Amino acid sequence: MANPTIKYFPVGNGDMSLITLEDGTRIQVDCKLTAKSDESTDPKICDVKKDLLSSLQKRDGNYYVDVFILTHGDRDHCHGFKDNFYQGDPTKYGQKERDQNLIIMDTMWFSPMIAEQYTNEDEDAHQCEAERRLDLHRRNHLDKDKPGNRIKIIGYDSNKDYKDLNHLRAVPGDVVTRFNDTDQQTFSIFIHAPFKIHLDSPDKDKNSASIVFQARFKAYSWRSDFCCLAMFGGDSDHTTWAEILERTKRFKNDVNEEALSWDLFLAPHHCSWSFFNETSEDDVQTTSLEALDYARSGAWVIASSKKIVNNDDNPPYYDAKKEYVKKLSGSDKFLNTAVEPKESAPEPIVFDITVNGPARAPKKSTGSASSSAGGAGAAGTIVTQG
Amino acid sequence: MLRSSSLQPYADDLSVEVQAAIQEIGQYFGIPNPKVLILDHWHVVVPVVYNVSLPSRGAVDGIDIREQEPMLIRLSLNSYPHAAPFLLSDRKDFPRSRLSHLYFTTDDEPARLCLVRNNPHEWFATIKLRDFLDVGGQWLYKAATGQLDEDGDEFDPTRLEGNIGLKHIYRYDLINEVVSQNQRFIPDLPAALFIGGQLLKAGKVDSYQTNAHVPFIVFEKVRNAIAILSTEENEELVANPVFTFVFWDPDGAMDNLYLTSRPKNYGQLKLFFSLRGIDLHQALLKLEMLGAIPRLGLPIVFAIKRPRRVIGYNGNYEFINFLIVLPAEGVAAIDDSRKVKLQGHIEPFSKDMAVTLSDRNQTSASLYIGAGSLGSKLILHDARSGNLQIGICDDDTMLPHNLARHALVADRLGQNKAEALASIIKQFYSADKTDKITAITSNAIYLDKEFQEYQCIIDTTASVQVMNFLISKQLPTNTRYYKAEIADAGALGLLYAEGYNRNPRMDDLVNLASFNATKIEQLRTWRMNDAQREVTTLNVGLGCSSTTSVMADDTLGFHASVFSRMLAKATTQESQGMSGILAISSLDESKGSPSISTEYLDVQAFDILNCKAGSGWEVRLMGGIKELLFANGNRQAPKETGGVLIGIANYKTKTIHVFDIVVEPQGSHGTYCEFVRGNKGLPAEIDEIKRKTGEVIGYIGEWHTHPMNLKGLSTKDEKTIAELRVLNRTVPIPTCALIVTPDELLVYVYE
Repeated sequence: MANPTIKYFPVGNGDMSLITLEDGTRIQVDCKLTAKSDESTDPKICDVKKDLLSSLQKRDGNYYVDVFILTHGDRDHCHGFKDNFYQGDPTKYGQKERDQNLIIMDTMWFSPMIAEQYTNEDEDAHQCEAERRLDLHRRNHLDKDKPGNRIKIIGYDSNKDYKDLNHLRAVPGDVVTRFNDTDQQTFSIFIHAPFKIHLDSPDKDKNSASIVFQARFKAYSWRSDFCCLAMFGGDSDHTTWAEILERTKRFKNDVNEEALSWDLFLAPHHCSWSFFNETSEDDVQTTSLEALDYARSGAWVIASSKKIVNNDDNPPYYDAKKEYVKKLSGSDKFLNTAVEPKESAPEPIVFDITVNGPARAPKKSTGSASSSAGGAGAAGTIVTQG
Repeated sequence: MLRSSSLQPYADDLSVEVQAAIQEIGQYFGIPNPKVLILDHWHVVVPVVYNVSLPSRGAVDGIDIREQEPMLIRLSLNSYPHAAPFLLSDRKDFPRSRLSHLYFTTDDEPARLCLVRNNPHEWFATIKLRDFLDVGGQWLYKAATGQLDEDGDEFDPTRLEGNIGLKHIYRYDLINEVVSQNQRFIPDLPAALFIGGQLLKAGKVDSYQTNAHVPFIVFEKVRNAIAILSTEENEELVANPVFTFVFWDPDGAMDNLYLTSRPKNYGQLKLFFSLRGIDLHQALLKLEMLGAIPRLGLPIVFAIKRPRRVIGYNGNYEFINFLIVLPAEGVAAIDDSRKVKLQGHIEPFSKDMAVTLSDRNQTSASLYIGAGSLGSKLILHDARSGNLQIGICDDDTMLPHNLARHALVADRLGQNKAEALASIIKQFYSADKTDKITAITSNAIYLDKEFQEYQCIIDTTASVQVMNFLISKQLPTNTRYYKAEIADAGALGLLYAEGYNRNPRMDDLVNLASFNATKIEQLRTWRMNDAQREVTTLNVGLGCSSTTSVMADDTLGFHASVFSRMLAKATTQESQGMSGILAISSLDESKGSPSISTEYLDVQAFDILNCKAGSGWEVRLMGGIKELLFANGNRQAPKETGGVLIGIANYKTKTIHVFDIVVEPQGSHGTYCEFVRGNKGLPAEIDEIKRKTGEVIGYIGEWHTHPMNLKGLSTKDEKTIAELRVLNRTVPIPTCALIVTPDELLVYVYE
């Protein structure tokens, strides 16, 4: 079987990642897709839709992901959801949907806390699809467990009550080992957030209520240690991380589950300063630095953002990058999706998960053949001749 | 510890292509002025450093791949870019013994990366240098992350290809079985003997083939047989028989390291064996004493036990093949400096390999009647696809003019074609049991019990004699008769297959092809051309032994290929209720460039009627005609109706084949007690059929109804038949009267 991989897509200030397990299970975390991205001819814009589709499997000719996790409903995490993911009864997926390359989500991970306030139509579409599925489960519909109808509730209820569906729920502190109706022996997810406390917070916002989780890979099922630990934090801020630290240590999950350790750390909120403190004038929160101290040997930080430059932009924030780099073995361990492998033609950052930790995979394809011809991109250029 | 530190700069001129490559390498690695160093007389190398992305906690399995890997890009001075570049490690301590996907090299040579499974030069012809360099980086990354072996459950064998030209052909499973089961020749030596030969016709005397295990119990018999063979003056000998010795570690020790030193002489080979617990010299002396070394060439194989199944094979053993050429004085006289050669292993062609490589429907046990130009091609297509149950019947010998189209070549001139083909097929499958490949050198008409052995009879003789013989012969229930022929000077190929229970029969199908000329243009052209052609050039088959047959080998090959595909497909048909087949391949060059097409007709069973007058004649009605006759009878009842039968009569088989009917030609008139068959326009209609079918199909009898259910000839019928017999004898055709009663067809045939 092939090594598991994690792919971080270059989507500017936004998140989109794909975890591929050794048995082929695909777990997508967030999305930022433009409807027409697969027609882009600008080399500076990576065609993430095309790359995503090429990374997915097909069943009966239809693209699907095993699990889709939306960390929270901000536009930069769910842009393009409505136009690129299939919503509705999976038995009604037909030629029209196939022609549009709509992706079926076999299982959705849904946090009731993050999507009750309408902010954008993609989030709304996600909410509607989640409610359709929840309704099937609530009605104990015969098709409720079929791919395309599966759903997992992450965290706690907000205004709506899903207590009758608690069997579908995972809360902070839980370890999930079953994905899309299949038990995994060498992969699990430790749920860190969102916490109940965020429900009562007066300045409750989507960012602080992000789903935060640790993806954990083992080299072999019988091993007690993990060969790779990857942290996905959505847009969580320093307050969430302080809470994560406190709770994890309180329940000894930092030791028993290695739940705070990481080899790969997706810098929250696109390398924003909010992970370190409220404003740049404030000192860096010690809890945030402590969270970074859990980096294991040779760890990487990935900033999924636009190019980080030394200015006042936030996110990404230049000083935030500096703080991250301090905790790494070298500046080359800090990767910015906008400039990898080069700013003029960014490509997804891919890590192979090996027994000795993640390794950054070089480009897989061998490029072009010895002869080639221009396509739509070449022909689409306006040429002025004298 | 870099190899490049001891290499001298290259100062002579470089070809434009090599200069461009060096520039591109410089750009790729960000080296403004790449060094160019002399590797050997034919190659230069460019030192570069690859940045390798290691896993966060170092290379997997502790393999010594570093973040900065110094490499050498080898370029051919004279042949780049037609000869591919190679990627060599600049490190003397490169962990070659622990890595797969390296070409076999010794410690004094740089480790050479194997970047592609296939021919590297062919691969490089399709990619850019930049892609090549990318793949080099991927190789190092895979080595560092434990991903070189795509299937980690298997062991990648030592890559000897490209390093040695000598070959040793044997079946891996044959040797693996003996080694795995520790089947020793003598108890105190971890070794086994195998018999094979030096391939004299391979053009290289150092190529060998090993065919069978020789346990001690049969050794004396085999040794004596070899001794006799060796003394025979036989210029046709294709192989010098020799024994191959296979050794293995006496303790069954497992070894996961790749070879990095290659024993180049006898002294080093002895050391190689001694490190693995074997005193090679003593072992060879003992084997020589037993008479197991009949020749100077001595192939020795060492079996290395790997931790996992070796990729591409069914076992954990990897075999390293050595060849020593002994001095005339024997083993005792070998000195340590005597050269040892390495041989590559090649699997012999086998049924399994043929089946895998061909991926074609397998034909059943097949008897080919006719091994002429068409037959020989079909036979070899079948044999190459893995069919080892082939009978070949032909009494003809290979003559010079056969070289124009026959699959056999000049070294078989004068030999019986069937025997020559059978012997060639047996040579293909030296590692398989080939006792079912048989040659029958008699004429086909003497075949009898042989039919019991085969499910397919494939007749390529284009001989009516053979067809009539096969029609008359009782074939086993599950045996199907196929017939292939090429007609119309190569423009048309016809393949016929009988149906279930031999219905439709072959003569039905052959005559149907002529009748279909009334409907299918290619058949009509053939039939009309044939009507004007000399008989000797009608068909390829037996006629091919005549030098008057004109047809190019490629034309014949086209039809042979189509037939072969059709035969493979036809053998998959369900036997029960199986219809007959008339398949047509056509090659039309009348409009310039060749245009090809095929047509495939299912032919339903014929209805068979026996002559009620006891003449022994049989009338065979094409499927559908019986129903047509009844329908016409019913429609006109209670009045009589009738018409004429269209078909052909064969006096040899006493059979009338009916393919069509004409209903009430103009001028016909039916009453309750008689039918007057008119003739207005009928002769012209029949003539047109005859013209289109090359004078083969035409009027063949009368039919009329007896709606009052008279099951026999009326007085009137008898009188008419008597009149017709006189008339028909002048053609000549038999006189056939078919009576259609409400529920039965009755035929009366008179010569």
